[in-house]
Amino acid sequence: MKKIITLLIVLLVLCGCKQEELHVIVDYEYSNMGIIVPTGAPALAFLNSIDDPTFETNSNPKNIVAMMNSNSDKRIIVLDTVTGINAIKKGAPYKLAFNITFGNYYLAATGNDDNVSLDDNDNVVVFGDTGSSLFDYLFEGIKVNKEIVPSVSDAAKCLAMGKNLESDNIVDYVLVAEPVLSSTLNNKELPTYGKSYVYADIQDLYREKTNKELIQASIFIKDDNYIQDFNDYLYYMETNIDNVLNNNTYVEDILKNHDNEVIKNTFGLSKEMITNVLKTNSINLGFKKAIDNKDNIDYFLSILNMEGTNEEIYYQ
Amino acid sequence: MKKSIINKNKYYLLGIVFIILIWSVVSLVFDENQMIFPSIFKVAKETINILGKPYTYTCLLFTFVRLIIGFVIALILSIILGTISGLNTKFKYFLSPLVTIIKTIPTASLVFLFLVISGARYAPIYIVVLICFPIIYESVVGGFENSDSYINDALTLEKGNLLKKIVKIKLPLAFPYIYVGIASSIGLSFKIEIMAEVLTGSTTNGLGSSIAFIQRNDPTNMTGIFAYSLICVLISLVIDFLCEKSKRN
Repeated sequence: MKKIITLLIVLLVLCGCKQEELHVIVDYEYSNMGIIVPTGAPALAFLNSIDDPTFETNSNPKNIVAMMNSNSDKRIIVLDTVTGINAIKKGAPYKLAFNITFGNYYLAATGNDDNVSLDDNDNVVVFGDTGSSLFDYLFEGIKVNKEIVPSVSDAAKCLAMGKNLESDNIVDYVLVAEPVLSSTLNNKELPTYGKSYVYADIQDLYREKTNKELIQASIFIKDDNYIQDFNDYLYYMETNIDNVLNNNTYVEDILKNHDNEVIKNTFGLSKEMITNVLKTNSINLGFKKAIDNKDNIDYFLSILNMEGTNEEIYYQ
Repeated sequence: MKKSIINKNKYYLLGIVFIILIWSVVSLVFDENQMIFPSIFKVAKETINILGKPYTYTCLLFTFVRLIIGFVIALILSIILGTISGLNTKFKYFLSPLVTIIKTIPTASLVFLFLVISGARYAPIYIVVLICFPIIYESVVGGFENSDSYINDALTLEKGNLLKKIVKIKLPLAFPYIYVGIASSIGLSFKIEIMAEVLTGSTTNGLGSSIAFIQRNDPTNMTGIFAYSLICVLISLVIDFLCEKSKRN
């Protein structure tokens, strides 16, 4: 028993030392904001927050919605715009501030379709209700056999195997998002490697049809007594995103100071994938004040059969 | 005695060989590509690969620290409340519905509850507290209730500080029961903590976060999942071994 207690004390001391090493507080005035972001594309906008001890990523966006409450210590939450707006409508004390990703949906072909063209009776897998509505809107008139899976990683599985593992149906096309798309297409161990490819860029199709841009992830900020403090920080974010997209040295410096496993775990992407994705900006990272983008947001909501937004939900 | 230990080890090893054989057969028969049920060699190779990364030990450390924090809180609460319940039947019955609820409420419900209350980062700690507390609490109460009645009578007659009697006599007498509670809860809370890390989706350093990352990164390839599971099994065996050894001491 004494040995176990000694071991516990040693582990606690080690943890204390390790904690400092892992979470060196970045010396800038915007640390400790309390930020939570889903892993993947939107997290890359916060690459330089990796050493902020109050910065957190989460692999399940629904868990982030659960944390949008008055008890939450997260003053900045990044979430899919539609999900965040729904949460605000249900009483979450947050405001929609900025749009930061403008669509990273792609329709990928598994290589199973002989005529290499999306038409009636093709088997298609889409993910999420938003993905499903978007697909129906863009490809209306084409009567496909559509199956909906819960998440992008489930969709990636279907692309990887060329079939829906749940229904065991062969799949011809899959709606999937970057950067999972690239990692699936480039994985040599998968049965569809070399046969699968990008069939359509959903953002381009949306723009052609509507003359508007797709809205995906946004920054939501807590509607509390300190909300007026956010202005400078949010424009600081704009500089960050600009640096992430256009300044290779900025990104390299951040990545080289951290272990690849830490980067992969935190952002859901390896260093190599981050560099590749930011080079082409296939994730459509950007920065726009949400209130100025209200028309695009409301139009997108109308496609999903949702009501438009009131100005009250916006940070102004 | 020596012969029985040798026999015990012999059968233990036979059991392990049997598991390896079953694993190999299922792997070969079930999945040609060995992506869903990889072979033991693939898993062993991936395990060594994972154990070769410094980040694995960071994750192990953070998982253990969360486990220890939760466990220590549960232990302190259990000993205090268990002692009171052990000495006072009315308090025991008063606390009984709460303990029953904590014991029976599904762990997944607790995870989602604490996700909202405390956030993803700290939810696993609270889960460990709630998993360990009823087990250790009941073992403390059991220890008090099953203590020698002659000693209890003698202590009743003895004058002196009650707290001293509890700390110096009653608790040590109850220790065998308390020990059983500690040993059974620590292994279980290790598994539950990893599960909580996965369910909360937190990417802060931890074994559960690493397992979840492997699954998201390559959902069709189970080799990484099996490798991490093997590491967790080995850790559990070490914990059990340490508990057994300290029990004998």
